[in-house]
Amino acid sequence: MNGMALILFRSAQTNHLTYLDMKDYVLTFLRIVCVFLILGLPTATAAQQTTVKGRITDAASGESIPGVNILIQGTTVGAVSNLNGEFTLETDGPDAVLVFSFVGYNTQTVPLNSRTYLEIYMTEEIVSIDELVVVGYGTQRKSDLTGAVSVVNADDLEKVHSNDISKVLQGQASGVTVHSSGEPGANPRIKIRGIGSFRDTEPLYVIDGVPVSGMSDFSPSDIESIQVLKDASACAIYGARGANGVIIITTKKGKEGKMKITYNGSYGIQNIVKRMDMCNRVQFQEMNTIARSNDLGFWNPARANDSTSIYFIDSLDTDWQKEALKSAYITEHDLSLSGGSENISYNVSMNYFDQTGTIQGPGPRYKRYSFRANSDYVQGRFKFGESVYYSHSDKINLTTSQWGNTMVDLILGAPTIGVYDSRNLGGYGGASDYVHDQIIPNIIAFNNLFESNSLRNRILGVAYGELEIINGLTYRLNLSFDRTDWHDTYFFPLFYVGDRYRNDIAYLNDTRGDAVTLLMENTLNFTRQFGKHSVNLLAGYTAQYGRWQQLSGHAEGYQPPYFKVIDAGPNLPKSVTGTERIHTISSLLGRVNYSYADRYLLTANFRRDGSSRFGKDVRWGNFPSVAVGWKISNEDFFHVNFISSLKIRGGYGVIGNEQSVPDYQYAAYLNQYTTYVIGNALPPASIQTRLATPDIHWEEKSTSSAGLDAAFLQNSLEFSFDYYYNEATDLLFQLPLPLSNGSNSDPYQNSASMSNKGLEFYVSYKHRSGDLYYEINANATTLKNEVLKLGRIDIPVNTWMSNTEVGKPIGQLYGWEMIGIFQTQAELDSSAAQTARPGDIKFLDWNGRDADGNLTGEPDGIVNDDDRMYLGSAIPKVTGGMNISLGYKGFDLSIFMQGAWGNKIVNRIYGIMNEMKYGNYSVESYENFWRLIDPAQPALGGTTNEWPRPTVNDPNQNNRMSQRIVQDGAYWRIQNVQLGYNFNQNILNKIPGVTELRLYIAAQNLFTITKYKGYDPDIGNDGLFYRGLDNGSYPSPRTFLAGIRISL
Amino acid sequence: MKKATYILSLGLLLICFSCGEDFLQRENPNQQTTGTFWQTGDDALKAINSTYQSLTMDGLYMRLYPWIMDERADDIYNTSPWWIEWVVIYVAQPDNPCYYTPYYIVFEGVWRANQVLGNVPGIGMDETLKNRIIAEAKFLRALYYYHGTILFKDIPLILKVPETAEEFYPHQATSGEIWAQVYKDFSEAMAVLPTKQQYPASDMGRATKGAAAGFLAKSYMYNHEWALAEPLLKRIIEQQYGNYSLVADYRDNFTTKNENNSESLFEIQFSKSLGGTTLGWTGEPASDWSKTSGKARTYAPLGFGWGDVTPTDWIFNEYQQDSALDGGPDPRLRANFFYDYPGSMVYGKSWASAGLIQQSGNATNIHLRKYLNDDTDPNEVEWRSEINERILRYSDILLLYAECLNELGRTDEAYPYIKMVRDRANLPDLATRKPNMTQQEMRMQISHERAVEFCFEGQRYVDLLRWGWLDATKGPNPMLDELITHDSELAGLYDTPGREYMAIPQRELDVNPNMKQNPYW
Repeated sequence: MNGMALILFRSAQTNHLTYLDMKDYVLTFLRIVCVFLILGLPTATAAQQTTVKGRITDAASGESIPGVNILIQGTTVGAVSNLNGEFTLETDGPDAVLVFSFVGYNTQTVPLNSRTYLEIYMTEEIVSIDELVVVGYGTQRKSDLTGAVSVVNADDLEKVHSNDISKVLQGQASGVTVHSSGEPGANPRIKIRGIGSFRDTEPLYVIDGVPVSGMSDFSPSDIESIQVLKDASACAIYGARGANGVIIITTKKGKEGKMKITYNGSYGIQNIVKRMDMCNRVQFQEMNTIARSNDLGFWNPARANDSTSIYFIDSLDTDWQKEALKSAYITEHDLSLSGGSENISYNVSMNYFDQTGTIQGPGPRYKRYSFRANSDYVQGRFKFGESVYYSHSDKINLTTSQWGNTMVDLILGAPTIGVYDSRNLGGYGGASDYVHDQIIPNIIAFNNLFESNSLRNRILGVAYGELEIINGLTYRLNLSFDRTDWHDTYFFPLFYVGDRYRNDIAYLNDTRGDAVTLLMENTLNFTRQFGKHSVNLLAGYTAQYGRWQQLSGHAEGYQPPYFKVIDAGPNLPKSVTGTERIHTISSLLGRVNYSYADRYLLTANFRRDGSSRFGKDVRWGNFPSVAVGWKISNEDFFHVNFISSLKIRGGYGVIGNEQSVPDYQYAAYLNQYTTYVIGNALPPASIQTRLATPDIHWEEKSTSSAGLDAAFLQNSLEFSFDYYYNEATDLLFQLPLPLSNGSNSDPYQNSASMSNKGLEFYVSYKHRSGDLYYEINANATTLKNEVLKLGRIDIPVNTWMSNTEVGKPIGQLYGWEMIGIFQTQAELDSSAAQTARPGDIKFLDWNGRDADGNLTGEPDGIVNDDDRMYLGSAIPKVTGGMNISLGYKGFDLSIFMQGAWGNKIVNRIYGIMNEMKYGNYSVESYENFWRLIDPAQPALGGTTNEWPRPTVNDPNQNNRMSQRIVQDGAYWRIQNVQLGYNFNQNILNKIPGVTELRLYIAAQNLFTITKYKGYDPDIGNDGLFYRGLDNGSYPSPRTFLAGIRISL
Repeated sequence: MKKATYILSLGLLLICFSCGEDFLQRENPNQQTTGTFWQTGDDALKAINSTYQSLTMDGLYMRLYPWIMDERADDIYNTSPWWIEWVVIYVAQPDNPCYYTPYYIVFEGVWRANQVLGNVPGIGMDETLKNRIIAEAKFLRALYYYHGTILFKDIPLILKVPETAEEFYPHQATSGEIWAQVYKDFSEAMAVLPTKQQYPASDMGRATKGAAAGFLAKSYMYNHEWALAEPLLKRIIEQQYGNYSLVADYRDNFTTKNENNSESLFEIQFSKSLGGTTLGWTGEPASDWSKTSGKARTYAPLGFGWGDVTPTDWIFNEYQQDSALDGGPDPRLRANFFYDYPGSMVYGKSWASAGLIQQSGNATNIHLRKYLNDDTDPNEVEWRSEINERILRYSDILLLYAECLNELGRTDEAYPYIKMVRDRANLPDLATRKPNMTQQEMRMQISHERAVEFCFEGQRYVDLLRWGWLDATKGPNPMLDELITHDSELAGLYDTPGREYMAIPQRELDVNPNMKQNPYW
């Protein structure tokens, strides 16, 4: 009671007792007496109301702050400060706790302690400078980091609507590149600091301490924070699986206090906006007839296009893009309950996500239901907790013809073919060889006829126990169980969609499998401060066991009505296949974090990893790393007022990787399915069919990194700069061996080396001026990739579109150079040999071979494979993003932009629409194609030097890989614009129970600046040697959505 | 309490360390390692059985080998939009899959044969069986090289399982060196292999003495080694290497009805009821692979299959040279073609209701019938066909012997062997119709006889190659001019002379610096 009395007395003092008149004094005194009386009567406390007034000012400038939300903790009662920063609030007692919050300021929790007037000084939020960062088996102050770590702002993440966490990360952090596709449920490709490995470039995801893969199963709405670890010293602690970088995700945890219920919901409409300009029926018929007549007697005009034929089609003019592209929706509902007391906290959330596709038909569509429950308990020196995550996803896949690609076939669709035709089995129109003589499929038919579904159930259970053995020494045991079950079905019904697309044997493929990963981690952590020395030691042992198994069945002969189970397929034989794999890793790890006087920082890691994927003698790898930092701004001599903090840091380390190689590759095996019919039976057979390399071992990636972090002007301006150089050696990949070895696939070999280097920048600035608050942050990353070694004797790896050789980036685009069109036979005869006719493309002859078969670099009079040349790199030189946030009173606006520069894309869509061969043609090619100026005088040549003649046979292969289909892939995209309004407390007071209410509208993929001529320069394709190939990548739709967030 | 927890946690750590190596040693639960193989006679049998499998892959008889040979010859026009369209008009680039796939499969077979030849001699097992297995492996290695050199001419000659870096990156051998090895392997196989009749029924389909002798003779013939071929062919006809005779019904050679018949020296065995349902064109064999051919769907006329090939008017008209003794057409015409004649049936439908489409380029509405399932199935929309591919028939031996005699200047002696083949077709005897032909007239006659007997069997192109009729490298070739009148696609050979042999696949040149592209590419 003494304390209480003292506060009351002080409270009276702050009321400027001496300036008050007697009446006020008496009233105040009586009020105090009343309070004493009420406190003496415990049963009456809740009923007592107190009016609290106050004023809120900025701690730094002394200006008043209007619009601050004031909430009585544990209730829905609140208020909002007026223009002078003043507020009045009725509390339900003198011991109420008030919460003051305002965008850009630190939230304050102030116990009333019977005061009736409060003077609140709010400080601007500068948490990013010294927030705690999760770094693997522990946390560190951000200012103590020595490694390259990007922290992604969870508020920014929340604004991108996607099912996948990696899509959400696109453009948000320096060093992180994401290629995505617009297909619902598709997995974006994500890379950290370039291509770390030939086969596996996915970073490791760690959710609440557990390494997981298959991120699309996890709902982004559960994320509290994301850290991206980019260099060896940061990643080393996840060594064996961290070579491609580590993305650490912390999910939302309950906080002490009353239960908080939050609902988040959004609904959006999606559309593919871009259209390719394709020929209409008349143009198509004319051009197809010309193409066929150009093949000199090979083809007559197709009857459908021949106005003299009784089969001539003039009743149709199908615009396939118009028919096939439709509006789709994306919607998400998220409900969470969280809270806790002194010893227990909990967070439970449920999420529903549904996204439909923009192509006619049931697929693609992705639906996911997920549930998460976390709780943590503390009892003295003992702490334990668990989290359970379950998700069920139901994906309907986009289906296309047996050979085709939806986007390619979409633009090629012939205007003379109808979408529907009730006479055909299945009801869809298709090309007849006799009438149309076309092989273009009807994509709407295929996306409707085939049924391809993928069901996944994922359960991730984590439990941990932590015991502080002595002060500063903690033992922690982490156990996790991660199981995914999948069930994929593919049903192929009976149909007739044209002569080339028919099926008379309906079949079903039914595949089921599961993958289980068990993980045990034992760690000992010791933290102690000795004078100016601060030490943190970590030692641990981890073991991981994974089993994967799958079973597939195939049955045929289904007849309508279809029963889509294996039993109902009557034909014999039915096929069934099944396999199993087991993968284990065990690791010893240790880390030292040392800092002296909060100025000099040292981190050293060591780990020893063993993997079941390698033979006994080469199974273990040792991977050390070290990093140092210097907080210059903490030095006594450092006195620069406008610099709030300055730190330089650098490190070197080596990490191992074994993710690039599948299980069991180090031994040679027999294949027992090499049977052959002998004596009308299949006698047993076995033989080695694949070469093996017993000595395959760990890939190693060494990284050198140096960085600088600075903050200026009371931390309102922050700047980070990093340089990195990574060298990946002993990369495992299936180095192509001569076919003459007879092996069915090339064995894995530690056969390549590669470097990635670049710069990363991050800058942010935030400022408040009166009611206006704004923040801008931007990041950019440069990347230069170079192959250092390729196989035993550095033989280039060549594909139809790329060549990878030492000294050049991986998957460098490679093809012929077009230097014009052959105008006359005379020109043809006097040029390097090509199997061409006038009107065909003239390619550059610049290289040849001497008698010994060595390349000369001189023209040899023939255009062949030797004349291919580099046509640019598919790897962007720079990628980056920019976030702009504006707040004004209750309104907030955020704009997120993102892009890439300096890369080329092989635009197969563009190539195909201008192939002038099969299918429809672009209007551009129709208007420009080569024709003789005067057919009577062929020596006069033709009309253009840019567009070849149409030809179906295409003997010159005009459409070969050349710079004709290589386009600039640079783009800058306004990825997300969101405008929101947070209702202030005055309004919320009128809605019973509501503590927070936010409404927002947003646009995604609003606008793209690009010269790229395809649907979307952000292509999902990121193959190893087929890099930058837009082979009909599903474009990202434009989305408009609206959402609500409400808390109780 | 504190102490207990201490001990407990340390104990846990120790338990974990102790499980290190065993925890990481994981044996493949799906497959046997090679370390435990090559121990018994059963292992040797399993390995030789596997060596036949490459014959059934795409690239060889699943589809691509006969298809490439037929498409390029003058008896078939291409009507396929697939990659083969460029091969047929001789403008394909070396990265064309029609080159890649057969090359790869030929060497897949060679590697398997070399595994048998390298490992089986060391196995302690029944000597007779061991010798037979080794002979089968030699036969198969020779057969793979026979196909390989006919397609590509100069390719690496690999006679053991590669071990050193040099062996993994071989040089090309000349076609002469390859043929010499083919002769040697076929000869050694022939010496040991049982005849067709000596095998029990459960071994039907294996390499036989007769098959080895026949292919050895065919190899000699390819290289104009008439003197070597003659005695061998003679002994086959004398039934010294097994009993062979022509089947009465010509069409029994091309359906499922009379497989492994008396006329068959060697045939590729297919079955729809054995094996799984996945086509498995090439690649790592899987448990669900079907044991079938994809040729019937590809070759069947449009409306019943893909219609990827169309017979030329020329081959159809070749049958008009003779009428059968009963006054009707050569019975092989109806066995090999669908066309409009009274009572003509197409997959059980009348000609009119079948609605076959006349292809551009053809003067008449004709379609291919050989090796199709029209006797049993309503169409070929299923990929899997189980008709065995008869790759060496006794009628071939007879006509080769006739040719051999003619080339040796014994033209008159050739007549009786041609007569045997013509008799089955109920055609008049040439000895009365065209007696006393000159050697050159007889050559042309034999070329005609071979064309009508073996059309669409991938044989015509081999004949054109060995006769030199496709060679445009030395300027105008009157025989090629003649062929172009049969099939204009062959005109491409004047633009790109020498390309009657295929390109070494680009991938092989990219990967192996010891390889050179074939001349004329």
